[in-house]
Amino acid sequence: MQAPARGRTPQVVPAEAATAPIAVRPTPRAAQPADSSGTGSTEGTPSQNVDGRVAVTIIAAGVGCAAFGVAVVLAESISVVKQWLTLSSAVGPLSGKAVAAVVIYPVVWLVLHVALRNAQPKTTTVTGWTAVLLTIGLLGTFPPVYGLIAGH
Amino acid sequence: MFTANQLFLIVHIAVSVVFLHAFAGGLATFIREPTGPIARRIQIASVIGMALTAWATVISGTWLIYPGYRAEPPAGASLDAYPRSWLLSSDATAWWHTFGMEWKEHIGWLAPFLATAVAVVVLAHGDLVRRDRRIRRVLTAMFTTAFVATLVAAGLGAAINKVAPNDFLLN
Repeated sequence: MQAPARGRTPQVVPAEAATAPIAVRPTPRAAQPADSSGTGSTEGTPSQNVDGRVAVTIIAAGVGCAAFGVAVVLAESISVVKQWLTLSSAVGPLSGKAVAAVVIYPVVWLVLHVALRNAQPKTTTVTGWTAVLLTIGLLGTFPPVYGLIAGH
Repeated sequence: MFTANQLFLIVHIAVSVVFLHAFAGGLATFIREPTGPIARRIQIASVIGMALTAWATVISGTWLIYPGYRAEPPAGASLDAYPRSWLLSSDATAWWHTFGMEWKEHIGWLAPFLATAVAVVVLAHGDLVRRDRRIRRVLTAMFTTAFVATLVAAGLGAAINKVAPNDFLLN
């Protein structure tokens, strides 16, 4: 018998476990943990895929941001759009930009939900699309950017 | 008591203050996995609070406060009650409208979409949020972006209030 390494606690193996043969039984599919399907993970472990309903909720938020950013750029670039988006004379075109994004957001969310609720897209795909959409929203609402696009 | 404009200002500031505080509670539960029932309740209260106040802040700011800011002065009127026109009347202050107010009025609108998504994911898929560190990271990024967008809008609003006359808010 080999002496235990210095500084380590020797493992105590129960006699019955040490003598019993190792039985390897396949785990029934139904008994496997939820994350084996790729939609979840064990404690603190990141999964590769994400539930479709979660994915569309996250992407739809990016769509809402992008829709608002695009509405700002269009309103600043095309005077007809600016007039069209002026739903309230007191608020100005901001009223239409907000209403447009608020209408587009749930509609796109619903469409994505119907199309992708049973899908399991990769988490990186979801975050990538959301980051792109959010960047469109951030750039579209930044005055130097939409001023440059509009030629102000 | 209060005038309508004063009430609008109080509502706008109050909901934005709640929003900023809700962020702190929510962020703590995203960085560290909420283990106990109290942490879970804090997380739910924070994300719901942040989503609701994000919508309340931009709606009150856009439809209650902003019209007073951008009102056109009648001919010959003093510009002190018309901050947008007051800022644009001088090259030295025009930047506060063309950059400051323009950015404020737009960037704030990104927060409700992000905060709503975070709240829905936490409420409808709480188990997944607890289990999956990667999802928590995504929600943390969205939560933080919503907070930063609101912080930029709030900071610019406060600065413009110092630069331009804000009589329209107080009368």
